[in-house]
Amino acid sequence: MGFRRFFHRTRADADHVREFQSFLEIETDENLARGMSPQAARRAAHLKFGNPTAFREEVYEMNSIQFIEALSRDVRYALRALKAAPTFTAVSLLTLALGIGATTAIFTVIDHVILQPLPYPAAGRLVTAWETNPTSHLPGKPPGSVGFSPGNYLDLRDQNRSFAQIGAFYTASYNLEGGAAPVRATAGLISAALFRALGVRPAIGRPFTQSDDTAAAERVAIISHSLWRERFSGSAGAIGSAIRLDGQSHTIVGVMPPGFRLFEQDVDVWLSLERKTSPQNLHWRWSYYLTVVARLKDGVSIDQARQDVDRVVQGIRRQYPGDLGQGGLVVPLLDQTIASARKPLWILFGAVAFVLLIACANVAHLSLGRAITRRREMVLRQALGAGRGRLVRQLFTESLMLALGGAAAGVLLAQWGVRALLKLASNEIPRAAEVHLDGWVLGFAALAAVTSAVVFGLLPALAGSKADLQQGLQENGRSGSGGPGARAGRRALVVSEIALALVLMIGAGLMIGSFRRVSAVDPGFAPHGLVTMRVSLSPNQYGSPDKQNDFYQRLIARLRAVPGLRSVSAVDGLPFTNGGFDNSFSIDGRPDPPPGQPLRADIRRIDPGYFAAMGISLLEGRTFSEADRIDAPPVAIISQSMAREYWPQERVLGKRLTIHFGPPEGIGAEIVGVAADVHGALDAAPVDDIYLHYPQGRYVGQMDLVLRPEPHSHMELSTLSSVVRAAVASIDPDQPVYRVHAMDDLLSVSLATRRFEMLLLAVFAALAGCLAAVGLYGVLAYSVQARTREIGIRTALGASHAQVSGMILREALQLAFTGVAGGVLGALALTRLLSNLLYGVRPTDAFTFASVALLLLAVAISAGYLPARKAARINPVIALRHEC
Amino acid sequence: MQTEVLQGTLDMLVLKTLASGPAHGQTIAKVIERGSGEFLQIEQGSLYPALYRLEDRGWLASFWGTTENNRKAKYYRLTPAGRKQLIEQTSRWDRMVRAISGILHPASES
Repeated sequence: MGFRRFFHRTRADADHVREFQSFLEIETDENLARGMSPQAARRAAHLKFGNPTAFREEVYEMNSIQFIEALSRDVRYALRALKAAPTFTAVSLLTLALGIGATTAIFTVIDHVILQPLPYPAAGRLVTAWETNPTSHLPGKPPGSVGFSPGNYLDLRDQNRSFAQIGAFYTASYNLEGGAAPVRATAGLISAALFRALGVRPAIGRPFTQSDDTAAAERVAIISHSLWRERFSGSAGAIGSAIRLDGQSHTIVGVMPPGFRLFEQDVDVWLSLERKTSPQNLHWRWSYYLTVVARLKDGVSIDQARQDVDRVVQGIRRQYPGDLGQGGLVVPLLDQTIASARKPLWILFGAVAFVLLIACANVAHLSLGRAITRRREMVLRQALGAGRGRLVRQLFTESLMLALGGAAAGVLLAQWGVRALLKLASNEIPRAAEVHLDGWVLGFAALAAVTSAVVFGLLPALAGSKADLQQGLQENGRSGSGGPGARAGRRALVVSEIALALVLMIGAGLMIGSFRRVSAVDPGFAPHGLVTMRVSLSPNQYGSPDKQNDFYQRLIARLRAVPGLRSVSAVDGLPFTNGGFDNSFSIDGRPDPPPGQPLRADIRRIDPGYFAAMGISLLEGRTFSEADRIDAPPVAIISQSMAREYWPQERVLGKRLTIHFGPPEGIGAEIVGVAADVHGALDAAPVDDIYLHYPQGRYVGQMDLVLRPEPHSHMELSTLSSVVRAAVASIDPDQPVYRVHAMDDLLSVSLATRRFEMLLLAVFAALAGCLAAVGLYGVLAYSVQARTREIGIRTALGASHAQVSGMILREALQLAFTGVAGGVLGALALTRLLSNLLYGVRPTDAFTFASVALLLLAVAISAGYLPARKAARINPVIALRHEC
Repeated sequence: MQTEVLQGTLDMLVLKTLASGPAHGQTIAKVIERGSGEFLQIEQGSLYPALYRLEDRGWLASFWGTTENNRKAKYYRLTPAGRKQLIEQTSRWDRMVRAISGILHPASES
């Protein structure tokens, strides 16, 4: 290699000068011995040697640029060779660009979502802590766990030995007053220690301190960067001014940096959790709503921390036997933040890696085919003195040029792809704001290019350069089939392409099947045409149920008077919006369940017209009436599956429940009706629902209005929302109306992640199928060309066109069957990975496997059609003269 | 008539020369010229680059020594890899000569 000399050339140069000097001396000595005069002897020696300076320069140059020059010669030659085969080059470039582009795009997302640490200092040491409870599967929490209750959190804070800092967090919403119209603001309630644990500070102003956490402290707030710009036009004067939340004034002490988010939630204003929570609630043990975030002490592992949290929770359990928590759980903050997105992303990456492999296999047999047709060229160059290594290097340079070209185009494609991905699914991908193409990703693309160049370039190059001199020259222009080895190699490549494509296509088929089934699920109500929006009442002005009920009653009455609205109703938590709250209850006359395992159901407090407005059928009994007032005996309606679960053989109507909320003794209610099941999400089984008439449900701080316009009224969403805003403002101009949605959109959003995963997998599968078909076509077309003579002889001996094309199609099917068999085996092994993403379809669903396999066979036959037709049209006279 | 050494064969000739023992550049040139009956003419401008190239590939090793006339000179000797290379190049050369003469004189082969 020239490298060593390149770096030692100065030292080497001095050595050469001495060497040339010694040559001149020796030569002069010999001339003297021959009897020349000293002068003539020196002159002759110099003449013989030539110009030492020019010579030194030459050697010096040779050492410094030899390898660079060789490289540039290789590159130039490679470019010329590629230009001479434009179809080959174009197809290879396109294939590689697609493969590398798709892989790079998905890798970009994975890199920023999964691989890069969260944007906090030493983010790897940040964790979240949970109490385990096997029966709980709540959104936003690790499966089988619940958050900490405030009282339990205080115990963990004081008793743990693993955390350097520990803080708690939950979100709530407040009416933010003082703007042009009332708005609902999302507040993050945090302990002062939370920002310290994360290692973040406000961009302007100060963070919370321990003294802000006390009940007597002034009410302070840290606002988000966007609220700062919106309300204070980004002025530094914001610090020290006040904002009003639910009628209470808070002094702004800080502004967070732009884009700061915790758990992917957009928070408008940060408040002190301890200050905002009443002392009584701060020690409450039975509501598990806090997310605990902590920074591990140096040297403490996740598992040690888990054991520590477990120890504290076991202590709590001994003291309070009814605690929901049965143990402790510690999850890295990153895992908790990206939670459910991790696995689908890796699956997509796997899928896209398959596409890249297929692309490489395609280019590999394109190159192999080309290497065979270039055998003569290789043999000739070998005869002229090129070493085998030299030829392999040349062929490898060609593949590398192709791969790098493909990678460059791929990066452009990836850039476009990432943009499209984010547009399509920025809500489905956590940390989407952090995703962009960067140096890492370019490095990845380059790596993918080099790897694929090795895979598709080096092997054919090695095979192609193995040409034997004499045999090669004697082949005399006959384009031989490339020997049985190369042929088997190409067939193996195309078979594995088909197998890989089939695995992807089956995966996509399962996803599509799941999506079809999930979309067809009856949610239990009639979403089409429904519009919903939320009204929240400030607890300061509406501190009592009487005031709240009065407001809701008047609002609903006003809206019912609006022409064009067929039905108007309200519920305190709508399905498909995480509405309704999980609560425990007991059945009168039955023994209490063991502590820690209460009966649970979602409590929904509704207006009597709710079932009619939503289109939920009432199966038994009656709905609520205005007579079920706050002072009347409480009544409840339960969902069908709940009725079947608890009273399978009995009459449900007339049975009594005690719902554990409101007054200390709970609400005792008689069941007066049974309603059809409603899904909380299309892909989730319906949960047990207990409906109450809202005046009997005590404190209702917010309502989701449910509006169904007349079908022909053509009321737009915006018209409806201004109608509702006007109605609310006519009662109280300070209360906000927000979360305006068409119910259809909410359903569709609930399927967005699924749709996104299905769509991407389907695109990759289609790409894989097309590439495999192109590969198969290439092999068959080549095989027809190579067998021209044989086919000519067959035709001359009386084989019909059908027989000839049948022969080619048989070859196509043979390859396809082998590939399909391999693909089915691969899919059986791999689709298990999808099982969490599927709905109503088993990972080994026979129908999907069979129909996708048939589809791929059909594709194989159509890929074989053109070569078969070409074979059938071979004219025996021309064919027999062919290559003679 | 004197002629330049055919491209690519100088390396082989240098290796062959050194097979019988270490020598310095001037001797190598002289041995090849004499061995070819002065038919081949070794340019110093191609000899030294060839020597450095071969040393680079590990086929030659060099050391500074003294000539019989007490002059300092750089000597080259064949490494085991160089010896192997010589055998390989020689047999390749033989094959090629056969192949090319087979083409040039097809009649003589049948």
